[in-house]
Amino acid sequence: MKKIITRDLINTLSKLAKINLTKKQEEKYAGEFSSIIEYMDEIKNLDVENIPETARVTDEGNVLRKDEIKPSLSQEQSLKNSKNTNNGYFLVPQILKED
Amino acid sequence: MLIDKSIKELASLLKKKEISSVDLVKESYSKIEKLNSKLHSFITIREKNEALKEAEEKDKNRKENSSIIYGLPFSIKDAYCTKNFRTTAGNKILDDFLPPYNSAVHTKIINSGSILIGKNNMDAWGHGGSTENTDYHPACNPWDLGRIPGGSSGGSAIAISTRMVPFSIGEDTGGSIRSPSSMCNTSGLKVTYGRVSRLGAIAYASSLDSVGPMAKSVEDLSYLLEIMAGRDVFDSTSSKTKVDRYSQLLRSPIKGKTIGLPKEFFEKGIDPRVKKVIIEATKVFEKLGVKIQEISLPHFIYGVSIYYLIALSETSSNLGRYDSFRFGGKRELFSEETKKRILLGTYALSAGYADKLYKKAQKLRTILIQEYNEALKSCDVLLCPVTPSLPSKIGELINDPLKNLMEDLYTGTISLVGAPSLSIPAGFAEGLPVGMQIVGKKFGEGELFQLGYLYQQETDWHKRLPPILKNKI
Repeated sequence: MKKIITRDLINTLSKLAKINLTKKQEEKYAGEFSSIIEYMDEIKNLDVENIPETARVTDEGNVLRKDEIKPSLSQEQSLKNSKNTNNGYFLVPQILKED
Repeated sequence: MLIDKSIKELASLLKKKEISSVDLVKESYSKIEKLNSKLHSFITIREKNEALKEAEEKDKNRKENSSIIYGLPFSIKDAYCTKNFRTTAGNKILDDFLPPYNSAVHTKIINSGSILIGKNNMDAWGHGGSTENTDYHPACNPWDLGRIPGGSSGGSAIAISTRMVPFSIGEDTGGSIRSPSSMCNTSGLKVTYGRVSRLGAIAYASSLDSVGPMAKSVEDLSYLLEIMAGRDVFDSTSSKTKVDRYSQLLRSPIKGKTIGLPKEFFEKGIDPRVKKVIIEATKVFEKLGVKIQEISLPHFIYGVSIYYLIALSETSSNLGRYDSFRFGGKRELFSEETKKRILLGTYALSAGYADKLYKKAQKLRTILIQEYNEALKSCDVLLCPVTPSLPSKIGELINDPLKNLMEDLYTGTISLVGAPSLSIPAGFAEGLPVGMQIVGKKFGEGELFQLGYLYQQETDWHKRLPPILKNKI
């Protein structure tokens, strides 16, 4: 079977989604995704001319509220599930490098 | 076995002090201690003494006007945040996550006086229809331990089916309450999108996720929904539509109502043994004076493709927040099924494919909504199977990715239109439970309960207990 989804594409997707895969997984996923996408090809020829996309499932419309400060989680509560904090802050990996 | 009694019966016995909450909590733990290691219904079980202490307090503080669920033990799917109580969503990323707040539904249930016993096993993040894709041991069907219990709220259905708890709170995105209810012979409701607040429900696909009750009977579900439903300022998609007194509507006459059978759901892909059970169920309704009429939903056969393109796109976005900085572990801890779903969603949303896949699916979703609205002009509700096949052997779906998706054909499609759907036992095939779903108008939960309640007065499928309970517990 011709693969619609190549290993290279899986590799690109994994970078976009920040999910590291082994070569073996890339190979396996390429095969599985190809059969799924091939199945989904059934919608290709359906006519959707002039049909709007569904943007919401409720009939509520916009729901607005006043932008007011209300009691919220304390700093301690907010930080307690983090594995890496310092001085009341979340620690994240460095994203800017010095020259 | 006290927990075999209905919520109403238990409330009445508690009120008359013929039984106590302590009795019920003790029975819960004794069942769990005997069965959980075989069935894997729970991921986290609350410390027994703590629950017993709470039960003692409940027995002491019971009032004349206490809620009907006051003092009853219950369990909740591990997809719901419970304050300072481990919440994993079935995935190791959240193995040590202690939420700083309670989900809205949990708050409502515990404020009504029910006693938490534990958090139920599930396919990680709701990704699956089998409760095999969990990082906390695949769950087993109490009717045949070698088979799946359905999913993703499999743990909850097992707990009810084996009478570990009188009720549980599940979550349904594309069938996650209905599928395990069908496969474990329990009753479950997927509510209208917006009927119950989603605050604190760990998201799978936000335009589809819904919070619903799971129990032994339709009557029990009607009491639970009264407590759970309603507007929440913290969930902008929760509806202002009035919450009915569902339990008072149960005995309203159903004679003269029309049930529509979507013919597309009975043609391709359905196991003839499942089909036979569903057709038998329609005969019970006919006997009750309900008209059965064939209808057509031509685009619903594309439901699986449309459902997965939308649900996986949304999940790839929702799970993008798990960066391990603020809470949770690293992304490599995502299970195999979740990695695949994130990547497929990323594909459907990526440049060059989004128009052909995601946007096209959203247009087709509009067509499905139009067809559903049109169909419900000629009938009051729809009736169809929950899953196309009997519960699979454990491992079977994991090795067949396409079959795995097809399991959601009848449920995911209904989720796309935001309709409510009641899943109740309809019979057995090869000794395995088969459920049916009754799908209604938006916010028409009351009508679904009426039909389901009357069906359960005429039949006793929902009262049957799995063989694992036969060895005297």
